[in-house]
Amino acid sequence: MYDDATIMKRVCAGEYLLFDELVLRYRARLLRFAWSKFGNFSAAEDLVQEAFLSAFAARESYNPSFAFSTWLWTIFLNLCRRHYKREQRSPREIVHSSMTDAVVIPEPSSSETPLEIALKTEQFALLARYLSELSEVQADALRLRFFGGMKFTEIALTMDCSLSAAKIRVKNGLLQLAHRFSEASTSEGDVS
Amino acid sequence: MNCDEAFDLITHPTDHNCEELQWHLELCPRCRQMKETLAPALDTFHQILDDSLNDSDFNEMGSDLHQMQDQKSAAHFPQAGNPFLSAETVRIAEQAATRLRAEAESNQLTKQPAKSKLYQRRLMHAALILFAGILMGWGVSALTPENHIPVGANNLQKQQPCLWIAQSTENAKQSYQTEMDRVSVNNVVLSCVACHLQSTAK
Repeated sequence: MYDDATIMKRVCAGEYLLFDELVLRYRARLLRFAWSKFGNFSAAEDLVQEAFLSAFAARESYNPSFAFSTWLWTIFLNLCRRHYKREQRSPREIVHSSMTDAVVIPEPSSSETPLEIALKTEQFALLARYLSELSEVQADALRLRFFGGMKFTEIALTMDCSLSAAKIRVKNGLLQLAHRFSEASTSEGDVS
Repeated sequence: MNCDEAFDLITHPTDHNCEELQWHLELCPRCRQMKETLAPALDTFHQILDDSLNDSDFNEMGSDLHQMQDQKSAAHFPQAGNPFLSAETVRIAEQAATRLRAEAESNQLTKQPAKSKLYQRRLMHAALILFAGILMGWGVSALTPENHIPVGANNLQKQQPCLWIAQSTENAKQSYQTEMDRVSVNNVVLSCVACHLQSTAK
């Protein structure tokens, strides 16, 4: 199994098919990030595809002195921000889904029951909703940390900020999220 | 492990239950409090991640989390069949590469002076230690007498003088004393003779 830098080196040398390996390695994480940010699965898929295509097109500018993952995430984060700005410029009303009207429960699979999948989706949707209530940098830092599985140093590089700033963003974001979840569970308790 | 490293592990996507962290949490009430405060958010993240969503899960779950009242979001992307890649996108990738390369180079540059400074400091310490050693050695050699008699030897000499030395010293003292006595007697006789000779001459 080659590391990312070796694969990129070979891709630059003409073994283009090896780029698929990089797509397989990072696609799920990028998708989770974009899906939680925009709540639109097809938009998330398009952004992920665009990020991979631009990394491939600009492959000659890649330098092994920095990690491929940091580069890819930086490209992806910039694309997401550009998309986010476009959305802000043409605002539209977003109705956060409830399970009844938005999420399509898939056919039962051998591994998980529809109920499990539905609960998982609902939990993810709730998290995505609370993340959208945070400031963009805090929410992005949290997404990079948990969905991207990145180290704080990598987050700092990707977001072009200091290491301490990256940690503070994650910490403050988590504090606000925890407060929001606690509020929600309290209100649920009151209703019941 | 310090509290900073503990925070890294508390927020780690996979290693958040490692033994090392548990030990730290048992000892550190501050970090324990922090983890309890963040628990509602952390548990949700970890639960989602522990379910290890993969591509097939995404395909199963693939739906919009938010229901758009209109379908304008599609307008932000090219129509199906058109290439996604634009010059702007490629420029974003190239700019990212340029920035990351510059940061990597600046990191290397800052690391190199740090290394050379460390090397210089070590050299300085070594030189200081060597100088101090030379000074100490010179001082010791200046204080030490030429004939290296053990420190305790002088005291022993004072307490228990060597028998032969003591005897010879005693003999010397005695001979000196008798000599002095003889000299004094001769002097008296001579002085007497001198006086008496003068008187008889007169």
